[in-house]
Amino acid sequence: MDRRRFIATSAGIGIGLALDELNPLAVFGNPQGRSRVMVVRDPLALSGADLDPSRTAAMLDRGVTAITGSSDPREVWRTIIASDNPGRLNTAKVAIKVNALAGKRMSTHPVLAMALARKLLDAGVRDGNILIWDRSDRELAGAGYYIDQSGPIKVMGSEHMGFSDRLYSHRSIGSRFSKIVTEWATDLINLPVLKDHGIVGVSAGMKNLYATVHNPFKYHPNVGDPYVADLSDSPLIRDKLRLVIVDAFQAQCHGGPPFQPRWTWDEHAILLSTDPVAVDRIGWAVIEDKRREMGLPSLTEEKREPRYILTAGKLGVGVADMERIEQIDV
Amino acid sequence: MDGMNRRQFLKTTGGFCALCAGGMCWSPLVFADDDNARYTIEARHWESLENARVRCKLCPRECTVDDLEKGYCGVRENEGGKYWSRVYGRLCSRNIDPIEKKPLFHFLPGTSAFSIATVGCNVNCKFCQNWQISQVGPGQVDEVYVPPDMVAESAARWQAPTIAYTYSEPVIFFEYMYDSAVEGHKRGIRSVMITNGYIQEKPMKDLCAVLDAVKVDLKAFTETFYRDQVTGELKPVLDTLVRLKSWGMWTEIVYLMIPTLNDQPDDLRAMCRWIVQELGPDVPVHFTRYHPEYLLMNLPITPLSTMETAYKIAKDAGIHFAYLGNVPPHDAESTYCPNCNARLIHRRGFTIQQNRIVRNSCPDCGTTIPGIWT
Repeated sequence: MDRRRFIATSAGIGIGLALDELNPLAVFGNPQGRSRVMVVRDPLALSGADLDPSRTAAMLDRGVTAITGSSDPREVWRTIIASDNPGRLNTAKVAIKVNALAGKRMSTHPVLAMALARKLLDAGVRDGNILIWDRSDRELAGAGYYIDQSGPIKVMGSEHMGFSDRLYSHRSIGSRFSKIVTEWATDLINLPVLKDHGIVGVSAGMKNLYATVHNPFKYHPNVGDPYVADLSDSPLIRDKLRLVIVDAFQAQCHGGPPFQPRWTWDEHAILLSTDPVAVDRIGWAVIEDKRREMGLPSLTEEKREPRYILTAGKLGVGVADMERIEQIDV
Repeated sequence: MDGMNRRQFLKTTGGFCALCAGGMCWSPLVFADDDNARYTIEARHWESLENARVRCKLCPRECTVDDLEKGYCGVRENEGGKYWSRVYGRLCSRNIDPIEKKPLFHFLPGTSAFSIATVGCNVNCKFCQNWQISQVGPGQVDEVYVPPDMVAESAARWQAPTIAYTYSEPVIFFEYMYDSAVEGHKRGIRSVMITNGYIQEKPMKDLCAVLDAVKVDLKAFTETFYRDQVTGELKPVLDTLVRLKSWGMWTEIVYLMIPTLNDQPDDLRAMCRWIVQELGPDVPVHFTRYHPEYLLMNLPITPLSTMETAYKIAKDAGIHFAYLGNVPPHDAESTYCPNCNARLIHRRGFTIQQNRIVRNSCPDCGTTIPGIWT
């Protein structure tokens, strides 16, 4: 079954399934279970390179309510952060990891990141307890972010906090982690872009977490496999990651990670899931579809198939089997 | 990397810093900052690929690096389709060490080496003794700007006849090492490279024009070990050793003995046979003791008996100058004449107790002792 036929059939199936079968808010859910990926589209949200803030915010709400079936987005945002204990909202510190590597044209849109942050504030996360971050102020500024180290929504590079003194070892990973992850944040939301990556095939959610460690340059051999998967499997990530939202307003199917306009297109979408593997698997399919459409060889043919996604599935980080992923177009 | 362990390293670093604080060392030209541009120079040994990608030709890994990404070493970066070194003049460590600490036992014994490093390494040994600097990227530790001419001037000021590129992996700061060695030679100061030997032929040949000695860490004699414990390959390292020999570069070998992983007698015998056959019996071989560190914390310190077994295997294989390192005072720290067995250099740790070599020869039987003695 190709991806489009799969979507057509799965959309119908998804509506009929009971929530407990899908366990919609269980990140790193039962690997034998199923996962949902919401694809929220609004062709009017993006105009040129600019995002409409209100349309973008509405897309976020549509996405999270579709996960649970709830009609109250504010309640869903609360649940995403503090499903176990609503009182946690008072103390929750939410770190939103954006991707600001490739400048304004192929980074997480600041409008999207700020819209998400405001949703969290509105849901009850306290002022000052939300941090939008990537590796450096320089990269964030280059992607259009205003650095703010003291406002209700902080925006800054992880360089300000540095890395843990402790070395964390997990499977193929031996790294110091950003103190944002080890000390500051109680909850992580991953807000990557969707693009081709010259070494590991696809850069979406799991690859975006390379900025959490001090030595990502050690984790590119062998098409990033199993390093990308092992990083997402590490307890520091598993225990804190709540949600992945892939900024696919614009996406890139070749020539990444730098911005290459020739291979960029407007997808007008965000991909949203609590399953970090499933959302990457759908992102991979989107990129392969576009490559085919543009007459490019597949990532497999280019020997850079992102098999780390499959490895992550085998590790139980999430679901990589397309037969068990329900893509729901919202 | 040197045979010293982390505690020794930190101790010597601290001692050196204390000297600096006393005003004995750095001029105002040396200062700490985080200006990436200051430390950046176009890398040597790479080629362009399509889509602004580059291929590094410095080490056998041959990283293909996309624009905005770094190579495996973490210090060479593609920006705009050009490859750049981010650690030119970017010192993270500098010390005055006995040359014996490198260890180089047949190179100006009893002298000191102005020893420097930047961050970075082109492998990732699970047992790395200096991982705090070798396995990090630029900007992640305290660094100071010391351009090559200042490296040479500092060595001269400290009356060190040698600059040693050491602690991390100098292959990855090729440009800085090369230019510092040139500056050193202008002032009559020699240069030695303390390396894993994981480097391509062309850059190594270039370096040999400005270096005076090389110490190579031979980490094991099996590809399995190099793959699983080093994230590298054995064959290119052996190739480097053979080339160094053929180019007439004074070379010594260090072998870190790790219990159960690379201390099998059969492998040691095979290695010693290979050394004698391919490099000759006069290449010094230092067996050094492992201490748990970095990602390999579950093994004990190498038993002395294992070290002594390795020493005996080397001697039995015909290696003239085998040594033990990182051990309590031991006879195998000293140099003996391969002909009459007279003790020529009596060492205790890194200290020379007595040096009887006269005009490169044994004073008792006249046998020439290979090395660079003056």
